[in-house]
Amino acid sequence: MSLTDAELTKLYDQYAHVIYHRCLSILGNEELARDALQETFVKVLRHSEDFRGQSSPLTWMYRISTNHCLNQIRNRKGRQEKLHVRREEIIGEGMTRPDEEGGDRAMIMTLLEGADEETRKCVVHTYFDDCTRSEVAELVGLSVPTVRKRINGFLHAARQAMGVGLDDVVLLLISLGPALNNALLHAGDA
Amino acid sequence: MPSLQNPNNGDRPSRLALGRLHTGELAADERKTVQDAMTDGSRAYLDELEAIKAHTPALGIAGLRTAADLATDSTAVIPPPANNWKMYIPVLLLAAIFVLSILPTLLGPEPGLIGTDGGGSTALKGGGAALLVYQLHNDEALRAYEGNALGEGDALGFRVNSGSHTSLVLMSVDGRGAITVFYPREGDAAVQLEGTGETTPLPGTIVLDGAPGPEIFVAVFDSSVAEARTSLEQAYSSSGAGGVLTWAQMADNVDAVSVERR
Repeated sequence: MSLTDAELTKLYDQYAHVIYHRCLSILGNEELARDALQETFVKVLRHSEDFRGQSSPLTWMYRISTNHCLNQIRNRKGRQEKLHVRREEIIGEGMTRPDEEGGDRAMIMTLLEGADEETRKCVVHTYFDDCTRSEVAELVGLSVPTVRKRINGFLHAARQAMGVGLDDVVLLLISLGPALNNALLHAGDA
Repeated sequence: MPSLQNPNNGDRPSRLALGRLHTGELAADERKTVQDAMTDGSRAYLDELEAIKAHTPALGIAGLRTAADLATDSTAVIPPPANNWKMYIPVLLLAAIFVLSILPTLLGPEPGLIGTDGGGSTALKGGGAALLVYQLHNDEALRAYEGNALGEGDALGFRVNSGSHTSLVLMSVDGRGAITVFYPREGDAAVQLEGTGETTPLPGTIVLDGAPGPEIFVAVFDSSVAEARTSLEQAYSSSGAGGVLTWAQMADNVDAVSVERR
């Protein structure tokens, strides 16, 4: 049986802002984040029977929104000119790598585009959600050692592609998380 | 703060755990565990969640239900057929000539939405191919030919009738000639369709950006992404928007809907 309006409203009030915040962090674009939020709740409506059985609706929504966000990133090549990603929102004022305007984030996103599906999910859950390896394993459906292997493989590829040291990759990945959230929150109405 | 140098080894709650705490999902013992492990970063994240409530899009129940009705899960892909893009050359040559005679008609009396489906006709093309574009606005899904010019931020949904065709590539070309492929969402294999002759909703929606119009949505059936894209590029380079619409009119496996941008 489909969700009633009252049930849907309650779910939206309870979870929408969490999902929106997360999608905004990953996608760095309010329109895309709104789309991801809508897609997530469309899935909730379409799979309401499955959804009702979830012990953690938020975990279920995380999986759904992850898939949508990764699709958006994957489609980025065809949409590059349609996205307006501002460096300040992504890198943040504390980031001190001004050598390539926006190039660093683009490189990370390119690496994500090139990675396999499981690795991409592992990276997103690790760096955007700050999940433990065991949480990532549960979310993605892999073993903890496999998650570790996927992350290490991604870092290796990042270092090779960027020609930089591990510390630089670390700084970049850090910069894609909370700094983005803060910048977007404070620039939300701009 | 998420970090490689300081990976989360369970010494602090993840954002997922914090989200579950924030939304009231956790049982009392789980709640206490998370709260005991919270750091300053955890509390800052919870503050962010509170703050973003004011920026979260409002719920539009009817719009969501419409989008859910339009969506399907039939996104399986098949290998592309071995069509050669050169097959379109004769068609395009004819199109280049034909466009000069029909362009005024195409661009004439309807200032809003134009195209092969722009007049609101429900008749299918020879091959049965048809593309329908819907604007999802507040609680309504409006056909894109209803004269409402679209703008940045508008959400669109699609339905197609594949007729006898069995696969689909859906693209758009905007006023700058920039092409975007919407379906399939990845790879070069077209989206598989059942070819039942029924009008089928496509999964998901898209949100328009601020690109100049007109934006023409083009459905190409029984073609790979590369072939469809090349054909669209050639049609656009021949006569711009008119070239695309003419190509769509003349090819049985192509349909297009053009929308003006406000």
